[in-house]
Amino acid sequence: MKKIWIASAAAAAVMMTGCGGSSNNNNNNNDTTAIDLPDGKTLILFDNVSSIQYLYNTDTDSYDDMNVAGKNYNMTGKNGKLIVWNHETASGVDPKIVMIDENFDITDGNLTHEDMHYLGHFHTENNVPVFAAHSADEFDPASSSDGKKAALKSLNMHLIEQNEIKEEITEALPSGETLCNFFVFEHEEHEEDHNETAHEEEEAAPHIAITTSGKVYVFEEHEEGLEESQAAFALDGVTECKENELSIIKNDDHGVLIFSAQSQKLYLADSHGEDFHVHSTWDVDSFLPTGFTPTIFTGIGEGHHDH
Amino acid sequence: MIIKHYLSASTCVLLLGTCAVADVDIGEINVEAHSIHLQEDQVSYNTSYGTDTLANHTSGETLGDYLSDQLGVDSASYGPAVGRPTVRGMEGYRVGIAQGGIILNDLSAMSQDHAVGLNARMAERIEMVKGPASLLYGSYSGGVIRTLGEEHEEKLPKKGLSLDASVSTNSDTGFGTTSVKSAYALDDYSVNLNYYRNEADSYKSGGNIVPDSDTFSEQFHGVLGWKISPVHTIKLYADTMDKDYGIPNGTFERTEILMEQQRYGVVLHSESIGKLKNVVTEYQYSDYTHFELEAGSYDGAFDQKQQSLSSEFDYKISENTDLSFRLEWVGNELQVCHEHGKCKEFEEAIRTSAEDGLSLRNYYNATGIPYSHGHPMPNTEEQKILLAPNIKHYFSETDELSLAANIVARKLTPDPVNMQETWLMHESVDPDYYNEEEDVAFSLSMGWWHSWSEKLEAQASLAYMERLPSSQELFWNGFHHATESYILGNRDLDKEQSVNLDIDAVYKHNDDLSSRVSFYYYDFDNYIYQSPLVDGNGNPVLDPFHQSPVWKVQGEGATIYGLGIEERYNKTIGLHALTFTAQLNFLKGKLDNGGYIPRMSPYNATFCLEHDYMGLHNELTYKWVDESRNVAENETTTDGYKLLNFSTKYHYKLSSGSLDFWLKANNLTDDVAKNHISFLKETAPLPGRSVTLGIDYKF
Repeated sequence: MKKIWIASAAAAAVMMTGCGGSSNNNNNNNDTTAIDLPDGKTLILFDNVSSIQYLYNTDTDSYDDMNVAGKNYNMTGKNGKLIVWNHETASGVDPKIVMIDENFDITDGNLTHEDMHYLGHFHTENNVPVFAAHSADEFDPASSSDGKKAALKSLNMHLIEQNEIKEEITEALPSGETLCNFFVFEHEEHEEDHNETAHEEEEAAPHIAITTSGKVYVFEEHEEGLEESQAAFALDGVTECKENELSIIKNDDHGVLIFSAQSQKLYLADSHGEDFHVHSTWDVDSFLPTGFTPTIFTGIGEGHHDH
Repeated sequence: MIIKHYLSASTCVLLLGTCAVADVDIGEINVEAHSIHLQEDQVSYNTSYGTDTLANHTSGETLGDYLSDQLGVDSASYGPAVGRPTVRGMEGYRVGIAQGGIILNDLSAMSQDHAVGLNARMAERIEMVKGPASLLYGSYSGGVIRTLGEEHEEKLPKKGLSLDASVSTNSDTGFGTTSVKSAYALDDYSVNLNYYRNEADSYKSGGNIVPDSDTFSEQFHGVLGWKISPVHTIKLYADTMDKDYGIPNGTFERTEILMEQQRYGVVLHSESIGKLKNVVTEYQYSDYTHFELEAGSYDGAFDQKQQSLSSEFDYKISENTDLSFRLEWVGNELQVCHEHGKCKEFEEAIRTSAEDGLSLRNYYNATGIPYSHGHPMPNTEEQKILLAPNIKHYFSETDELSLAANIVARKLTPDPVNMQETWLMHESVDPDYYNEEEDVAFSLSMGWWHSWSEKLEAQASLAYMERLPSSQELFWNGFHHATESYILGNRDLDKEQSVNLDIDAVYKHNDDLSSRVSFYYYDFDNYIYQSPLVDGNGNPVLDPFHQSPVWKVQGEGATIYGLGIEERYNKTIGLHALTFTAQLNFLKGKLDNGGYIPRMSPYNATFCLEHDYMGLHNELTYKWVDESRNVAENETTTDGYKLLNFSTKYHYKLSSGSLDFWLKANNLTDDVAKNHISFLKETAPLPGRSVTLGIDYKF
């Protein structure tokens, strides 16, 4: 898994191309001032109102307009929402970004190619990691390969798992609070770690939950279930959370990146053996074009940020 | 105030050897006393040193380095760029540092990593003021250190062009120091232009490079003088200073401080206005900023703008009674930023409908401590009026009584506009936290100087001092990167109160041998300091964000007392003049509730042999510093160390002007010396062996 993240991080340093619909930044790459976003991340920010969509590379501090005619990930005139999922394949874990239909009920667990716009991931061309996107049609079971069928199945399994976790967190929240979004850290399984210690670590996997009032709760899994492990905290400028307007993704093994459409800010909340807290905050317009107001974001790659 | 042996000795040697070394200007000691006992071997509340003289003896470039040879003075170093003087165990806010009469607009008293906002070399004179006289400038238990520039001299420079230029280089750190002081004066006009630059790479200790101990400093200082009338002179000045120095604090990433300061002012000197004598009126505007960088990221910033208007004068009440009076208004605005990568500029925080202080309240409810991970304190505005009379009555040629008062009225206005709303102090925790407050501090000091005989002279002062807690002591609530600790301020702090006793005496056994004793005893009713917070089991409390120790600002009864002894012996053999001095310092700081005060200077002794022959001056110094014995709870200890230094200087008189060549070899035994009074005692030992070469040209 680690290797995959590292590969993803390396991929963030390259230009975008794609599977039958890639783009590169030879023509539309835009450099921005370095703002100390975590290295190794490729972020996609999407405005579900205007359908404008940018990809941002934190290693090169540059962004690309993804709505390029003829590209699989061109979202011009479309609406959607982004999810990221770690696709476990025979060769390892392959993080993937999926743009699905905005109206799809994510708890359904029966996502089909008709609910998708594109599926993006990194692959290697000439030893260079390249971000690529498959079109939704490529996952039509009538014509798709076994691999793609398996991928879709894996994605649905992921959604079902997420839904189970969502129910668990919902139960753990203090009364009066409603879950808006969440992220759960996964613990790597090392061969030598199949012992009690590893089990304890797995139990203590932090669950980061954001409620509709914009508060951030941190839970840890214990035998009795989820328990709040620290004081809840708020995000600067956030008073509400809607599922389609607040996103949370993994930054690295110690932290998450949170984006709020309300504040138009990106927050790094992390922990290094102590409480999760907002370590850094970035205004979206400090690294993407002024006037662009994304509603949702996601990203892949293992972030690197000094604490 | 004690006169330091090195300096006195140099002068004494000069006097003794006048016939042979009349042209040798080894260093001038200038003892200024506003009292009747202006003698060389004396005790006085005011002692003034020419900066050149101090520069001859220092091994560093900070104000603390310049003064650390004085009896009872140490340098609270934080790497080679930072060295704030501590005086008789008093540190930080208890020692005033002033330019002229105006307390320096910097934040060096706030935290040990903040450099003093001046370069000692740029001053013309440095004055140490203790006892009643110090109350003219503020209420500081450790007294006031005044740096005086050309603008603080009543007279214009000597007519014509004059220059004092020096360069030096250090064998260990490379680069070196450049200093140029120039002046041109006519009968009624003058101009002074001074330049200073110091640059050094990281130094070595014990053969190992101390990472991030590099430093850079540059300063320009200009003064225009105009003699308006025979009794009135006006001087305009402008000053700009930049510092860029590493913090050798042991973090993996480089910690660096970028500091800049601009000062502009005007001083009006009036020899007399009616019955008022020596009237000095000064207005100063200064803007101080410093940024704290971690791995190049602007994680912290401080900005303080200050205006000051002051006037002081002397007035003869009667034949035997003089009055010195000082009145000052000071206004300053302080802004603080601490947010990773976001402190290049100061911004106002977002305000939404979210509950103010929600995150802070949650932590308070969970831990009993209102932890914050936002900006550590609100912006603050201070308005202060200071009023200080000092009356001196001369009973006879052998008795002087001095009485001084200091009244400070302060309005402190916190403005949390910079604070992230979720880290605002929650109403349920402290509803009055951001309220404006007005307070008054009153201090009184009485001094008695007496000459018991031609051999024995003594001085005692007894003072009741009140110090208003600083805005940082009241409001700081957050992590401090440089010291890697969480500082928990105390909004309910009372004034610091103390009763201070200082006794100084000098006994001249004969023309060659003299003894000096300095005893001090400070009894604090509410000693404000940072104390490590412990839980019910006595374990250190760690903050929830960085797992760093929490230091709580609190006031507690405490006693600090010490003794300084200095013996000096002169011997002249033909054209050779020898001076031997021995100095001992003992200091203890105890809390009334048990335990010791942290970072108190260990016992130490200095032995110095000086030799003068014609234009040659040699000096061998051995300093012994004991291991730390009286340490506070949870305070780390330091081993003792020894420093052996040698310096030599040759003065060569030219047909026009003079040249001085000098060499200083410091820490010849390359001892690893850990300064116990430094927060960075472990990671930033004092510099190891090095040789500095320099040349100074004057005309």
